Amino acid sequence: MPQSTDELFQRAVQTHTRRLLAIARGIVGNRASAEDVVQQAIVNLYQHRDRYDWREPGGLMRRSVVNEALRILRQPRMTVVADDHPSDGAAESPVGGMIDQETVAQVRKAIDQLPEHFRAALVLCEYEQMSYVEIAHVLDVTVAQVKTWLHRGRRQLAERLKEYMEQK
Amino acid sequence: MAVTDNDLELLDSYLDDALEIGEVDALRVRLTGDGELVAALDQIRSERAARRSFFAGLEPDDASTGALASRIQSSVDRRRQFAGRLRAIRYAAAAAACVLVGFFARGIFDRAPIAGDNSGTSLVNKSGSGVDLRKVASYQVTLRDETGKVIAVQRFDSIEKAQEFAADLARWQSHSERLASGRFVLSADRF
Repeated sequence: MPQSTDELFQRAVQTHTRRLLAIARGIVGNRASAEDVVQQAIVNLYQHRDRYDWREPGGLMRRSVVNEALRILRQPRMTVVADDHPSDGAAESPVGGMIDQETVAQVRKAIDQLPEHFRAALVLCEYEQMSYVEIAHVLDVTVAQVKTWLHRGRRQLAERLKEYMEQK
Repeated sequence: MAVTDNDLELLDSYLDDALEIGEVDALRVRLTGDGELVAALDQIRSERAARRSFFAGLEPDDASTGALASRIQSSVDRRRQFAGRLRAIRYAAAAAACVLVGFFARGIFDRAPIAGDNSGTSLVNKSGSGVDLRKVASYQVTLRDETGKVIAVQRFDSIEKAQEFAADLARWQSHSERLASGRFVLSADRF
């Protein structure tokens, strides 16, 4: 049964908000409000809703959120927001029993220090489980660029966490 | 054999499932005989496990998700209402613009209300409403019959020309009346 654009849009918001919020949190960290990023990205899409196909909106919404997050991070002055999301939630994780909260906090700190493009590529690859081609499409770069960002980001993380890991 | 930066990139691609089948086979062969490469792979896996735990912590709970969805819906509703109001304002503005255009067009094109007395000729100074008087003023002389019905209108762009025309008409009318009353004798009558 055909549905109106508004109905499809509403359903897309209900379906994808959780994942989009997680992606935004991963990219902006505590430099901006992830909720604001998701809201702005979705409202931007709503304004031009007739241009898009809302039957498969996941990729579209993901791309919009990533771009909005990167846009926010490119602004010269960032506001540090309250840390109200349980990013150190090892207990919620399937591997929570093996990885302690201190390690997660260290990982988070190291990821926060990465350049935003490295972080975005890493979130899309390791959290969203996207292929390099899909990541390249979302970030509007080449696959080779994605590979480079991922590799450098991972090496920087390993370097930053090396001392902590050795102590453990 | 020492693990190079390229090897690390290869191992990352392997774990990302981004290698071709041939590359995977070649890597597996290397892994069977290279202890350092195996150690590097284990190291990368443990780093990923730590990151996975961090990423899992990013997942919002139901309350946060619901609150954000409501926020978004409210924001969208506000925009929809605003768009509706904006549409109404646009229609009103368009209607007002039409009225204004009509008002000014009337001032420019409709310059001539007809006025005058019943004596036959009159001189009228007409001004456009709401528009610069000097630009739109015109002058006309209206001819009426004995019953007051307008039989002709002549327009002029200056009052002097209109006055001259009116004076000529008055002279012609006076001359005609004298002829009609018999006070003038045509010279042809003497022959």
